[in-house]
Amino acid sequence: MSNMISVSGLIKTFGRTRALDGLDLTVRAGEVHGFLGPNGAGKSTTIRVLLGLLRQDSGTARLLDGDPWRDATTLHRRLAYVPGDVTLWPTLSGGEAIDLLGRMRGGLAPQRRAELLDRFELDPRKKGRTYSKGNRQKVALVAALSSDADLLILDEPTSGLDPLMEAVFQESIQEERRKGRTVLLSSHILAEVEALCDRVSIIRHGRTVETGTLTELRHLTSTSITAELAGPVPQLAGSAGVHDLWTQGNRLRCRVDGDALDTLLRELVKVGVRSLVSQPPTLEEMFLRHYEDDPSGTGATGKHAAVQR
Amino acid sequence: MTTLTGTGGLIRLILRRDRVRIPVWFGLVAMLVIGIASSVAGAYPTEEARLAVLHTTNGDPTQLMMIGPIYDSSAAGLAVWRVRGQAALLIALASLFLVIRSTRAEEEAGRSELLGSTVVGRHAALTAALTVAFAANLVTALVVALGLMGQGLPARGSLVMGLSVAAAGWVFAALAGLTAQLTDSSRTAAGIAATAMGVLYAVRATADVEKSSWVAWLSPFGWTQHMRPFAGDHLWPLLPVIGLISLLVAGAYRISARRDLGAGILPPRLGPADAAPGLRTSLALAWRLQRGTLLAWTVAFTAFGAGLGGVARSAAEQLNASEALRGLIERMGGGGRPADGFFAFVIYLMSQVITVYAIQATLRLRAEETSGRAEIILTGPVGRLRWAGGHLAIVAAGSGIVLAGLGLGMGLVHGLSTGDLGGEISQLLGASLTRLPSVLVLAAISALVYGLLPRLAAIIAYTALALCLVLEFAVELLHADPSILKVSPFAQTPGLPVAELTVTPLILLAVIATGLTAVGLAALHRRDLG
Repeated sequence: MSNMISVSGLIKTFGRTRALDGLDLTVRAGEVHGFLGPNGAGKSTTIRVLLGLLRQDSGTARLLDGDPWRDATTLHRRLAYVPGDVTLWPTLSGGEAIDLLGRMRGGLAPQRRAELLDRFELDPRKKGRTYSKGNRQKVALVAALSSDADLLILDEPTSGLDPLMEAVFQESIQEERRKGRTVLLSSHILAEVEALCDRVSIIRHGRTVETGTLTELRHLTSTSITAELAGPVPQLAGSAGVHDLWTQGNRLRCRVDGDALDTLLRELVKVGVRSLVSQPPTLEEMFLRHYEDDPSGTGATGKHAAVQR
Repeated sequence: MTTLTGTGGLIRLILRRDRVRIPVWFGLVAMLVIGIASSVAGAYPTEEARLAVLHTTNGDPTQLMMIGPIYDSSAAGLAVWRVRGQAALLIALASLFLVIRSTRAEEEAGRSELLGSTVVGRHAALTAALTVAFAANLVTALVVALGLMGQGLPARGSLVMGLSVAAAGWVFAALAGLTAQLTDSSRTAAGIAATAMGVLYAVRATADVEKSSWVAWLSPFGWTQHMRPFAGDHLWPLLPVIGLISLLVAGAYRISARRDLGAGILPPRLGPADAAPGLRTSLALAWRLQRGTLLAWTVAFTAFGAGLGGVARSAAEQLNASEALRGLIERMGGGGRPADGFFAFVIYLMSQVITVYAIQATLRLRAEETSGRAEIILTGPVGRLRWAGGHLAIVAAGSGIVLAGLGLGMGLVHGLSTGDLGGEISQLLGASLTRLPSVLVLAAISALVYGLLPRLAAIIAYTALALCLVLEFAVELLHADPSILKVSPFAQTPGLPVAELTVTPLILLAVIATGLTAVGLAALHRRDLG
């Protein structure tokens, strides 16, 4: 079994809203897979289909080599889930909730539980209704991480955690990865994605727009170039892959797509280069591009271009 | 006063959010009063017929207990009597839930926090809730008055009737305002207020059965009853009503001024760090979640049963004195023991009230689902059927336990007074438990709609129960064919301890309940969750 999750052409509608519109997602065994997209893109709907809570209208979804709807109960023995918005039973203490969830999955190691409680600085004696959002999230995280599930499905698991706890979370996920577990991580925290994810899928409007390693995705995005030349800037406007060109005498600034970089540099070298600053796209720029882009491809560089002109 | 800033905005918010709920609840009360008033005149057209009802009723302890005496033999006097009890209880419940919904429930959900950060004063939420509830009751009073006047009834009596109904609503709105401050759970706050309502109604019932006027003054239901519309038209009982409301509201504001947002008056306690060894299945969790409610209902109905057992003796004496009733009980198949007729009737009525527990406990499934807590369980290795089945098993067992509590309470106290403790307990316990299948049919209807139409589950389930109660009005007042009562599962069960025990209808009801539940679970199995 090389794929823990394979989803293709998934469609799910709620009334007139089409939440998923032909979504594809593949998560390989042993990887931490980032699942990204703007709010309302369909991340949670996908996760709820994978958990057998919703039934897709069409398309296929396979989870741990089973059907997430039909084999829900058996598959759930091998996965652990942390929802983005954890609600607990008001009258149960956090420790009781952790024990209950762990025992239903077939028991949890007391030592591991104690260690995680300590690491996340969680008081297990408080009642569900008195926990803050971050602490409710910690209860679900401790329950999930102290299980020995093969697959962890985490839906924005750190949205209520402080930076210190965020670091603890990243450390724990690294450990899980070393143990060979697979993680599907939906997140908006880019530093977290960069630190943890082997591969990411970016979705928009219920469709997958990009999937691959961060290096691959970077390549698809443009680099910023600022240069001072020995002579006047050659005619570049209209060259393939060059955007947002700004020139003044011998100086120029532009953005250039990964595959056009080589051609551009050759042009510049012909004139002679006095100084050159090349900035690879930051993760943030990369995501903004994917989040903002019109999926049909019109107005390819979106707001950036408009602002700079 | 800056503590009241934003009250106007919150009033508009409550009116917007409950724009359907408020007119439905309060409109229902007004329609009930007006509708029954118009049908009573047709049902008892002659003074003779009405006098007969008056004499029978005022000598019948079950009627005295449920509603109280008739004060006037005019058609209006009879109408007022017939609807007094239901109208007062219904409007009290409507007001109580309205206030809790707009105060503690909002706070518990965390929405008050969002609002509280805007320009909203500390007392604004409480003030807005009470204002809306008081106004809704006042409007109901005016609608009732106009509706009765429209039937040609005297204006003063119509207005007094309207006010007597609203007074019950006002008192329990104020009480809910207070209980909402006490505890951090809206469920508990509503529970305390509803229990107080039950106890105060029972006080009124005891006063009327025992014909003790000083006891009647202990309950607001006694005060509103003594407004006697169309039979004296007293307004002075509104004085204690206003006094009590002032005390309750003052208490509510006092606590509201001191406590933290989201907190009750008791500091939150710490729970255990580890779960007890038994908490390892979804059934164990369901039990943990439901046991508090079940305990409260069981205690309340055992106590209520004990109270009924206490009045049974004087009830029986009065029944003996009433020629007409003795004949009726004998026709129902009863032997010589008049107390049995009393018990058969009250068990029949109480089983319908206990059905509210069964419906409420079944709908717990819906609350777990919408809150997202069901998701946490169902993404573990627990199938939907096992999860729902656990809750439903507790509903079935719990309904039996509450019914048993009722029978036990009645048998214990009545047995002590007759001297045959064992005999009375076993007879009344058995009589109560035969009501279980009919209670479970209504629970099964709730499970069915939860599976098929989860959004409408609560409305349809409670409407089904209300229909069973309305059918009796239809038979009594509109002279509808009594055979329509057969639709109601409550009428299918033999009226023990008067009637003979027949097992067939019980088995039939159990089969129906099982079938409906199975269809509901099958639907749950196939639909989307959350």
